Amino acid sequence: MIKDFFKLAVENITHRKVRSWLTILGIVIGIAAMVALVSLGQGLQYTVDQQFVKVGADKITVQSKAVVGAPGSESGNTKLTIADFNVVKRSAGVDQVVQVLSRSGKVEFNKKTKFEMVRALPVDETRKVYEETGLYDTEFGRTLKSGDKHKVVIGSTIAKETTFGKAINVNEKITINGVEYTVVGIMKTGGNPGISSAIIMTIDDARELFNAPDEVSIMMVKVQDSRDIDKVVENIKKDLRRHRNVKEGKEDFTVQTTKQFIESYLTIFNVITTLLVGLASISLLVGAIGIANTMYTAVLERMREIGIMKAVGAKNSDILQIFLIESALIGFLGGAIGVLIGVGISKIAEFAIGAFLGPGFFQVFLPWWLLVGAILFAMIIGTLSGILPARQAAELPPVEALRG
Amino acid sequence: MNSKDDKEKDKPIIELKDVWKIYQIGEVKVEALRGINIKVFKGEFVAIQGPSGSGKSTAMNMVGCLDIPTKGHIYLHGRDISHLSESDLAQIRGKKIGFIFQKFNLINTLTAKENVMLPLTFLDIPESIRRERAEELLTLVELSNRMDHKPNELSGGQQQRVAIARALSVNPDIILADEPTGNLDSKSGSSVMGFLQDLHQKGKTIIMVTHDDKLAQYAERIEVLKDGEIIQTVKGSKHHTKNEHNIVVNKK
Repeated sequence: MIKDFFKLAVENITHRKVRSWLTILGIVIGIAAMVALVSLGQGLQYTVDQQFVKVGADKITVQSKAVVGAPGSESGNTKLTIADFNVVKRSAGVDQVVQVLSRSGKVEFNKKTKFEMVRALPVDETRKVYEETGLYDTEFGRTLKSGDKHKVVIGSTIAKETTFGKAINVNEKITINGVEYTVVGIMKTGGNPGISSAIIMTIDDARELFNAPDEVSIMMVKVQDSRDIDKVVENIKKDLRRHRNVKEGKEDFTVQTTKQFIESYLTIFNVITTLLVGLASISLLVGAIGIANTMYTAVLERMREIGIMKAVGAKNSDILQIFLIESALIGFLGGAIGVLIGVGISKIAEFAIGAFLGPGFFQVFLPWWLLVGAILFAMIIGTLSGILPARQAAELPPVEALRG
Repeated sequence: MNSKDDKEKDKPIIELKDVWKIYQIGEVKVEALRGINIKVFKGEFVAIQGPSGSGKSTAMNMVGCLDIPTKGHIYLHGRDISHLSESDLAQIRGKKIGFIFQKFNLINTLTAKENVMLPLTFLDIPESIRRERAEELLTLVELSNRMDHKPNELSGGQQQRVAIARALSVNPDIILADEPTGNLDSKSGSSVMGFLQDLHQKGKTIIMVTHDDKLAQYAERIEVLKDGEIIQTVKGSKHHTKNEHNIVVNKK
């Protein structure tokens, strides 16, 4: 019997094509948005997690709270310095500390000028700390070594033809803030997008170039034992507070484990995702109202038909089922098309992000349960929206329905 | 004493006993039926005839188990059905009564064959049997070449013949025809009446509701209804005149 009811429902949906498609569209938009958001969101989270795995669980990042280079009377005071660096180096549980200087540089190549991030790293024994993350590995040429002067390694994005109108190859020369540098290496594609679009030089070169003999933008700390990492964070905080003479809770610097660092980004990201999913839910709600509306109209339109079916022996429960199957089917169609479009959107986004940050860096998250779940969800919405109209249809007295 | 068979014969297939139907429209009470008594025996052809407003539609609803009376009793095969729920009534209609309506009342999205199969669907009969039965019945009403057409591709007369086939699909005890020729031209009307007479000759019980006294003459017995009461019971004069196809069937 269900099979016959299903056939009846299909007949009814195809009978009023335009209205059915418009109703289905309402669900399509909501489901497509939801699938795209979840798959992109989860994909991004996975990517960030992967970065965390690469950087490692034994790393702590120390940063000034002040925005680097921001104008303001006190900004000079809040910057971290070599003195702070030495304090951190002596904190209990610390193995090694890498001092990093980050600045924006005016880069010229192929008669084009662009501002790019310059990241200066030491080439002494502390280099192991950042080299073991694999993020700074080169694909062409070599990494920087002790004794290098006016040599740089550039990120894969910078080397691309699209950046300066001409690809930069190893041994070519670029100008940064008016000083000429030789490119000795190009980093691997993929990996961290921040690093892919950076220029790496030795910290000695950078201190001279930017006239910043004392500044430290970021400290990358490796702890002796990763199990003690939270204790080491507290040690560093305590030592820096004393050295910089600030009270607890009023710190002008942050000390975060890589995990915390990533989580702080994820929190913001999760808020945005929740907001967007909320918007998608509203569109689904509107879609559900659309289904209910269409089904109510269908009940009015098919009043006589309901009467006929009752006259030839349809029970109230039969009529209820016919209408519920119809609204569930609308939900199903909306869900299925929505999933297809949602997957399309995520794949396009994946491709776009890949083109921008390097292929393989970002992958959307499309497990089967998300797709099946979305379709089921749409079907449930369809069924729920159909309940009231279907009950109205089922409870019509046959005499009245036949008159209609 | 009567034999058992005679007893069965004496028992009406359907009986309306002092049936009242009172509608409350706003503050006004409308008495559509005022204590009518009708007995229909197996194999009879009965017409319920009356002008519009006489209560004949209400009477049809009662006989067809589409509605229940305000007062009084309706017995189907001796069983009181006047207080049954809508779902119970639906099941009775589905098994015992075949409807033929003035406006054909076919489902437009379904083909002729699917329309004939529909009552059997609600009885949960397997599709192959339903299909076979529908094809057989549509052949009987001379529509074997129109089975897969939808109602809007058929003429009025053809649609009404589909409706007859549908009414017969469950092999009901009673065929209930409500102004069966009301929307037809005289030729199609006669043909439809021909089929009804045919069914009657084959032993079917037929109850026809009409305003048209000429049409009512086809029945064995005519119950004349006026103002919600049966004012007269007469014998039909054209009863069993199957080949008389030249009667004028008025359009309503």
